[in-house]
Amino acid sequence: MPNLQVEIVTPERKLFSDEASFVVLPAANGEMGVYARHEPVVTLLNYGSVRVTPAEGGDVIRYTVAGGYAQVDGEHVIILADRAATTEDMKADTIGVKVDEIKEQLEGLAEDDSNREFLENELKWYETLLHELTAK
Amino acid sequence: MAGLRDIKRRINSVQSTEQITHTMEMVATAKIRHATERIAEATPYSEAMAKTLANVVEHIGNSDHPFFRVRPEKKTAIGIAIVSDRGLAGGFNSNVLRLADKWRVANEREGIATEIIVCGKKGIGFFHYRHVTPVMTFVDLSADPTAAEAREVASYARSAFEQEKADEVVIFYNHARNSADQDLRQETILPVSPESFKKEAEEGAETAEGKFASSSEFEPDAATVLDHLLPAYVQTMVYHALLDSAAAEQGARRKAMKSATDNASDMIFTLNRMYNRVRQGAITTEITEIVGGAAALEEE
Repeated sequence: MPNLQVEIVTPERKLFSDEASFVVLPAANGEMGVYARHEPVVTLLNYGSVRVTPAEGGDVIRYTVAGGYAQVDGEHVIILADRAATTEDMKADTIGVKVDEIKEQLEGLAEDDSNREFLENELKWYETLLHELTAK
Repeated sequence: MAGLRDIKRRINSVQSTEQITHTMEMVATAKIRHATERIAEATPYSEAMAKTLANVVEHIGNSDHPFFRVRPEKKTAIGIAIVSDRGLAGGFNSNVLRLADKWRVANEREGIATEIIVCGKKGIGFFHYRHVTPVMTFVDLSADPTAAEAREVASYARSAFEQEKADEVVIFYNHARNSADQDLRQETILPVSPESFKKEAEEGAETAEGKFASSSEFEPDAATVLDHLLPAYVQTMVYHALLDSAAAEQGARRKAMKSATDNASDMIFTLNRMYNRVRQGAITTEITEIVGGAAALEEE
């Protein structure tokens, strides 16, 4: 089985670039597994985790991503995430505090405040991180 | 004529100024590299995005997405001015601010309510002086802009645009043409003009990320993909402007500090010459006095 070239790119930088035998993406219509020779597709991503199985074996690498999209062709998977991070060195407590902080801010905001969308996205991101941390 | 001691004092003071400006020049030079590296790191993302956008738009045909729609009557607008937190960078800040303010004043004269978002400490004082309260301000980030900052600005602009609280969003910043020269830029980020990403997509066609977005399958479908891509594209534009401005800032500062250092060297040269002349003059006077005195004694 040939391998896939996987790249995880965020607006800030290229986070990950390596060969993999299998990738799971949190696609818009549910999780999507990609092997080499997958048909070309552009898919939106949900909040969730990307799991990369390295080509030379070893542990599955997990990245938490927030939205964005992925381009897949037979040889490459390029994930352009709005945000991505590994939860390895994060602590559930600090993320929990962050979630509460944002919730508090949201409560004080008017229904049509232009800043609302930003805070709601922040909340979703930290909740996803929290979910990832507790799921492990 | 100034005394010897006064001139010496001035030379010393100019010398220490020269030392400072020279150091600042070196610091700015080092920072330019850091800033250009950050632009390079962010390029794969924006190029891939522009390429996909161009691809999706092509796939859909003539898109009538609200983000593309130019509103016939402009009633409200948001201006985003990107400047620096620190001065001593020549005309870097004032150029952007003057342009943004001219635009704001012109808008208000036409009855367009205009909001201002300021990134950079220098802009806050400028608008405060003109009795304009920015709706959003960012400080201490100009040298190292974050994607989070861009996300916040873009989110605000997008929501305002969607809720028809802004019919147009314009961004003002310095583009780093190279490490020495900056171009003042004024770009309309909303409504999005399809030409902007088509151009970027063509430029990025050579890179690995850009070249293979030509698939025709979209999940869930092309229109939904476009719905999500456009807001992300707006954010990318803001982020890029921030990065570009950070690089331009260091370039402008280096240039300003270089000319300050050159000026100081010239001044030291002139002062040294003056110092020598005055010293020689004093010696000559003394000799003349001695010789004169001796001659007077001989005559007696």
